[in-house]
Amino acid sequence: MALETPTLNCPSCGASVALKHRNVKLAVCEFCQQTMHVTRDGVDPTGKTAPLTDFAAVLALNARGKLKGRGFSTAGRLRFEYGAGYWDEWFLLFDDGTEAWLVEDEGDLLLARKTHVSQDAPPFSSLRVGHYATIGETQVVVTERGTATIAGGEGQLPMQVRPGATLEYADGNAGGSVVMVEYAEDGVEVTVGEPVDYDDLDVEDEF
Amino acid sequence: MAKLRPKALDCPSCGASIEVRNAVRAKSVVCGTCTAQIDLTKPGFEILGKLGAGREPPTGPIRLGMHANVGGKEHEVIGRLRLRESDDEETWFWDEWLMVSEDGSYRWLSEDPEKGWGIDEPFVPETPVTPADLVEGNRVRIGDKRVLVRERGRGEIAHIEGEMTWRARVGDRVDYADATLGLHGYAFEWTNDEFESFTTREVSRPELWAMFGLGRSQPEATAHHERSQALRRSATVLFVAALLAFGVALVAPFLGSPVSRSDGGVSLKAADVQHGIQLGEVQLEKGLGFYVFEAAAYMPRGMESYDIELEGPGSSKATIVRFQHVGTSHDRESATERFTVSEPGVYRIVLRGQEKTPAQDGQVEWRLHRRLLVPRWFVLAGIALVVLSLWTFFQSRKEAMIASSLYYGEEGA
Repeated sequence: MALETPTLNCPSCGASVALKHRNVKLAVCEFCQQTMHVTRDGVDPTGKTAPLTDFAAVLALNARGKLKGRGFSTAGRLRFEYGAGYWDEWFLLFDDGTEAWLVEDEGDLLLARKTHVSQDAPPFSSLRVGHYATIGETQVVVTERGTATIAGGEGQLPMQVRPGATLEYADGNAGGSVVMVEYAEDGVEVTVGEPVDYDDLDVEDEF
Repeated sequence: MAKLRPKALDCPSCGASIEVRNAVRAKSVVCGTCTAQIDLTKPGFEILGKLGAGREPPTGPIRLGMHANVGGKEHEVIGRLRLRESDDEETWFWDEWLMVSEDGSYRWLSEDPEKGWGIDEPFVPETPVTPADLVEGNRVRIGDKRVLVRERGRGEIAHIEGEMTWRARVGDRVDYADATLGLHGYAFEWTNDEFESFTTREVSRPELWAMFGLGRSQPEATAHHERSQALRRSATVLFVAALLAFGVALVAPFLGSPVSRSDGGVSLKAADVQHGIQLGEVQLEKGLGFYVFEAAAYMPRGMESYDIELEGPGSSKATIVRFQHVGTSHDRESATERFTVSEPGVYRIVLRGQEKTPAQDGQVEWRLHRRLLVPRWFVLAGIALVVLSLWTFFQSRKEAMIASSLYYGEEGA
């Protein structure tokens, strides 16, 4: 039995936007780039963002492929800009119904899971590159810290973010796993990623 | 999925075509025609500035676009940073060349006019290394090693060529430290917001040539380089042979077998000594090896000397050992002698006293061994091999210097 996914109309241009999964909280209209928060009561427009440009991309919105043999499609993307460049976080929907994030940063790929640890994260100001920090129950060696801006998004994402918002972030290493900590308005989000080899990623119609 | 994703773009400043070798990772590129630095992350490719043609030229043979075989993988040189550092007295610089491999991995080739070349590869230390630890003269722990921090400084980007994986800007500063433990090298770079660690490996001039195939355009230089390599290999083989020779010399005394020995001490009656006392009979062979005769004798006072002789087939006779009494006391004296025989057969070992009949009895103990090798020969061979090895090594250095001067056109080859 096929699951029915609802559709909504873009509050800016009226285009019909089919929601790809039940947990969509942010959607970007493909036609006019209007971003909107999706709630039970309806749609709350947050403004328009410039389309994300890629000189070259590993993935694209609505791409299909296989990651370690598991079929997936890209439902959405968030871009975070910082001083020296940017990183993208792709929201993947697997064919088996599960979800995951694929972080693309300077050409490196991480298959990641996100958790909130608002009570167990040290203050950002206390983080020092090269030093240990205890994030939740994990000791992390901080390799990078800085401030980033949410440059924009596309597609559909399971959280509400505000394009243009700034956040503080820190990257680190914990026993081979990459840990990314984002200090945002609504709390601290920890992303733990396992590196993905390009050989494990097979994208249909490469870009 | 292929890792390396080349892509071309038209320079937004002059329109020239620029080939970016790894488009998914490049964040900035400098146009080779007009030297505009282009931000690849911005729509329309924003121009960050112009670097200026002919500024900060490379000092060595490396250029953008060259290919190198590093660790068995083909790499292409795609970018260069010129870094500069100053103190109160002087200013110095070095280059960092960015290389990308066919599988999309990156390596840095550092080039210092004074220190030479090195390959840097990123790694993650098992235990944190902090900037505060990286003080010159300090030892820092990396895994199970305690490495010595040899240098620390702050470099500033003075020039950029090609593509970079971040929006590198002229004027950006980075702190660095270099550490070593024996042949292991490490480099650390950091800003307030980022810390990176690298393992480093020195690259010799001949190795760099081989990596980049630089010698192909200079057959004479290549010939000298190859001769240098061959001589170095020969020197190594000779040195190993010398060590083996010394090793054999050490174990040679233990290689062999006993032939015969006295059963305790043999009494020497004073009256019989002058006429000759048979100590034993042994079967001796010709061939590989030699015999070692060891004897210890108590010589009574009045006895000037004992001779121990071998009497063999065909009435042949030879003195193996002579005990010469020195002093006035009844001393125990020992002697060892090496000999071979020209004819196999049964030999009698006979002791004869010299001159007058001794006033007292004496005693002798003896034993005969067969040994295969003469330790002294192997020691001499080892010394000769060491000398030859050293000479060969210096010849290889001479060839390497000739090759080097031919390649760079230096004088005084």
